[in-house]
Amino acid sequence: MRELHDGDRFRFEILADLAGVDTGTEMQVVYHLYSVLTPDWLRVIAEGLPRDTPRVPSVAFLWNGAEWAEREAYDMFGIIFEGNRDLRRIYMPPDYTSFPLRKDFLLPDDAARSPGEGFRHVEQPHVIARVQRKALPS
Amino acid sequence: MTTTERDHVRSLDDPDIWVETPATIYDAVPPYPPRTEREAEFYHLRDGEMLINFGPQHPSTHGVLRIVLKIDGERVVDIEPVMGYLHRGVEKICENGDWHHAISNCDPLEYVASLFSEAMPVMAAEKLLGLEVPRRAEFIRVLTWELNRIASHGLFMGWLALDLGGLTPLLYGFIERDKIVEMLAAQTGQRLLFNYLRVGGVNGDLNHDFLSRLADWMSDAGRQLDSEAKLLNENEIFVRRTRGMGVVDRATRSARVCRARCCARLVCRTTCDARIHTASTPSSSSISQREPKAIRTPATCYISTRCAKASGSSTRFCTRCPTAR
Repeated sequence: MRELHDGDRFRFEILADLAGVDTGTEMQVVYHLYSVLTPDWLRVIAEGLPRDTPRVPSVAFLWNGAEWAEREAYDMFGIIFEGNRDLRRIYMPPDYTSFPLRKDFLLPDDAARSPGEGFRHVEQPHVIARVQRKALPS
Repeated sequence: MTTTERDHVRSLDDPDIWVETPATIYDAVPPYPPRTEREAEFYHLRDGEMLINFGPQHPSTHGVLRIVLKIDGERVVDIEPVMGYLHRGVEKICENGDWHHAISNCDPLEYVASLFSEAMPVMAAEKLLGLEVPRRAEFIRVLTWELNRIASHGLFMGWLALDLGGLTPLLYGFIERDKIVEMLAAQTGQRLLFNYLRVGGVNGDLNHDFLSRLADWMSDAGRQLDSEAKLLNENEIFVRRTRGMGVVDRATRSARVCRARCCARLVCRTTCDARIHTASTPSSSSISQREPKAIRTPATCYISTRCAKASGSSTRFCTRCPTAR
């Protein structure tokens, strides 16, 4: 990726998109690059990431804007971008525990599609803070 | 009130009991220690700095966006945007529906120009199936897309001016937009979320109501749009407050922002398509021949000139255009 970004022949200096993909068997990270030299689009796919521990090096040091895109991919798919200095959830609340765009995250109405399974992997409501009871101030 | 002091409110269960409102994730300072390097840096306050919550429902955030501002006196030194108040997980919803559910699910993603957000699932499905859209359907698509784009740009310019403190351009923008939206409503049956494209074509041929409205609008559109453009381009306050702002240079390379930069090229391709189509088959519709004249909203002019500047000439795009035959 460094060669694609810095190399004199390529100069893909614009990262148009960075997305995570869950194919059901493996995880992928897809980069859409755009060159400033020639009007060429390039799609780079980092494939074959294991579904239980998807880890991939961060590209945020090359494209600054990749930081948020990597945060989104982490938030939605749980892909760990090593070297990203701000890898935390971007859309979901910080106390959320699952990764909603993975294929094993089922919506409640999926029960209709797989009868007998009912609710599965659905996030339980999470109490965000303890309520302290105090006496009535007089 | 500083963020460490808490209010006491009456409990919902028992009004005699007063409870302390707990620190929540919606406070400027979240109730947990920083988890990343950047977060630690942001929440470390130097001398004279303080944090302020801005939004999520603030008129100038246009929607629900919360920004935690780190300010030093009057100056904003750092910001931390908190997104997700509008995230609906459309990908998951589409994943669980059939392919034609995706069309109406993707519609409200961009509710000002929803024909474009419809195009995403439709064109993706066409690409996967290897379908070629009939020529006439392609024409209708380009025609309605361009109309929708004019409406969207008019609204964008209006809102931009509204943010800079002028109400009039917004009302002018709404005049044009309303005519176009009514026109598209006559064609598609919906006023805002059209749900008009289908995989392999569109839902229904052009009808008379649409065409007569279009002809009405076309007779006056150029003058109207020009006056709207003048209202902004010749306004000194507007020009001084927007010129040189938000420049996307190469060093920025933001993933999302650079879309706006790249889209100059993409938008130009669409307009080129329209021109090529109208030039190659003039007999299809007398109205669409006149269409290139109409796509001169202020924003389009701006994009086209930028595009022409960037490429050296505008014909280069026409030859590069994938549908140019």
